[in-house]
Amino acid sequence: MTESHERFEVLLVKATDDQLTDDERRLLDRHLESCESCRAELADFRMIKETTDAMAARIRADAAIEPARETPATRGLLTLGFLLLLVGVLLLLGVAGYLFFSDHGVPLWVKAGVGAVAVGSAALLGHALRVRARARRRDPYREVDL
Amino acid sequence: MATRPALEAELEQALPRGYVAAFRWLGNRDESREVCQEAAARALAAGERFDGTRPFYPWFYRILKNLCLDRIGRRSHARRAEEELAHLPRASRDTESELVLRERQRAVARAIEGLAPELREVIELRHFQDLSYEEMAEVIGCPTGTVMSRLYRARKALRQRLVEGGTP
Repeated sequence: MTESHERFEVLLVKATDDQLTDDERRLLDRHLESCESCRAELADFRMIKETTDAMAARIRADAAIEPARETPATRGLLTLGFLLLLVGVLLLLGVAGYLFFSDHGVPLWVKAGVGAVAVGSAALLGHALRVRARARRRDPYREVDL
Repeated sequence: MATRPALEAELEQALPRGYVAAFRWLGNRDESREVCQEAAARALAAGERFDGTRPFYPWFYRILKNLCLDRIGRRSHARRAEEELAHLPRASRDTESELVLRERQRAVARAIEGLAPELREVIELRHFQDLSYEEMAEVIGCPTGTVMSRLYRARKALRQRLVEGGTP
């Protein structure tokens, strides 16, 4: 490559990126009229740029695939649903427990077994909820919104 | 030093670019998301060290790049971004012209992988993360003129590789 060609390297870079000023564009256009190798080079540079632009666009589109954000309305609905479920489950368990434990036909050892399972399950659930709540409080990313 | 709302606004702009950078490094969607989250958290935590008069992305990119390199260092095998890219969801089935385009993308990806690290870096920054020449100079730590001549050499080397590989 001659010294005069080297002057156009920067212009070829900027032309590939559509960053030329009007003066630079006129200068480069004049040069390209008489320089076939620079014309071919610019065409290939643009083809490479278009190809990588398409690749980058596909990756960026993938980045946009995010779960739907929670709004106050969806959060309210979720809380209401959770509360209703909790009340219903507690009510049913309470009534079932009362009927079960007040039934004199059920042997005492069955009542003791069912009671142990119920207390154990409640203890495990309580522990899991505590661990989860503690992890959430300490989560360094809880305020990061991608 | 930048305020937290200012940092959050900068992050909103930086994360899509950062995701592309992470994906190109790691070649994995989930890991790229994770590393972006981690980099965002670190940027927010280290906000007092960011000079608000300078561009944000080069600073954020350094955090992100370090996290990506850490992960790569812990890996037992390398993943290629192009392999993962092939599995990304597409809007429709490929037509013939799209197949030609995909083949060209694979050839360009192979050619980029074969570049010297300093040439590959300018291609990644300009072509995939769409950084300005000034931002690239900030990231690489050299004058803008050097960035442009390096970009020219990188594109020329890519072109040469594609010609040798017979890519249309």
